[in-house]
Amino acid sequence: MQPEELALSPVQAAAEAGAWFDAMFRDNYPRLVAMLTRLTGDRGQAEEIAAEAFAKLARRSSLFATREEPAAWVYRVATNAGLDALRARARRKRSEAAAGVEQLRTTESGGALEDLIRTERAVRVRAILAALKPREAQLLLLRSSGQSYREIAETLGVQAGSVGTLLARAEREFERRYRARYGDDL
Amino acid sequence: MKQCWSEGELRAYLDCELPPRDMERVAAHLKTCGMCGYLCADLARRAQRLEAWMQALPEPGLVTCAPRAPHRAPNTRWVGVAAGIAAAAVIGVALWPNAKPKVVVTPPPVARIAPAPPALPAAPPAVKPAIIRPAPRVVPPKPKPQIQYYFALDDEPIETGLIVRVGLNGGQIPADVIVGPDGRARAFRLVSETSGELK
Repeated sequence: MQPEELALSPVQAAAEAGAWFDAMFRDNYPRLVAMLTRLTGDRGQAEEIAAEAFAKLARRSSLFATREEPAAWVYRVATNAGLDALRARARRKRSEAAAGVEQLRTTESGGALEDLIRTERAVRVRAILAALKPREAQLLLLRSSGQSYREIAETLGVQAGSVGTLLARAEREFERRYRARYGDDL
Repeated sequence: MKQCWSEGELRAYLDCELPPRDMERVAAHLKTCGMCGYLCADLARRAQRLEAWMQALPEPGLVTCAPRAPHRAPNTRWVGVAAGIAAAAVIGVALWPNAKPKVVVTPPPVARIAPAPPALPAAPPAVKPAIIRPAPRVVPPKPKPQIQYYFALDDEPIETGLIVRVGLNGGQIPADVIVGPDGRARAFRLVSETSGELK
């Protein structure tokens, strides 16, 4: 291939970048929303966070020229934002509980016992995730969403060989905090 | 030969994330090393508990690629201001005292042209739009002031004198009298309304 064949006009380059961005969005948006929905428990908020992460990526055209994987960047930004939202909600719930609002909500839900237990377990897990270090929470969430060690390493910017060590450490820390807060009740 | 494997490597082994050759090596080592076996079993139990905990986070339904449009309140901040400015502009134009009358330009009636021979298609006549100017203001003609001449009372020329306005017939008919330096009346005239001197 001749060198002039490799050269793209600015219009062609912009078109290729747009097509690449569309493909990347189609491949990753559903997975990202699913993961954020599990994290936040709010589908609408998850979609907003994911869309905002992609919008940030679109504005940062310099990322396309770097060696950093843009999809990993989006996952990192989105999971960070999701954890921030989770912590903000935890703070708000603490203040609401202090005001007696939480009791009203609990009595309103009134579903089947199994639903209540599942909901309560999800609340506990999210509370522990919000209390962990961001990278540990991201690691657990990404692994639980089915990402491979290589994908996790790209997202978190670590060596693939150290993911196992970080994962074991994060799991131990999660269990320690969970047992310290809620006892042995799993 | 490697004696024992690290915690991270054993964790990766549980997830089958090691290279195939290392997977075989770890499997062979676990059969002989009780310490690594105990550590690996501990890691596996914790991983199972973590999986159970994380499964408490419900999976969402089908996620499509089309993100929902973010709900934003309509921006009504400038609607009132814009409406006020528009209303003020309309009222100002309507009440402007020196507003020029609207000049309507209408094309003059096109004179009928005799049909051209069929061989030569007639070009459309160039119609020059007529400019209709506003009609000039009709000013009623001012009445020409009527000159009231003096009547001399003697034949001597009048060089200097003083004009005195008097009223004749009991003050009803105004008249001007030229009085000379010696006090004699030298000339007089009647002052009529048409002369404009009464205004």
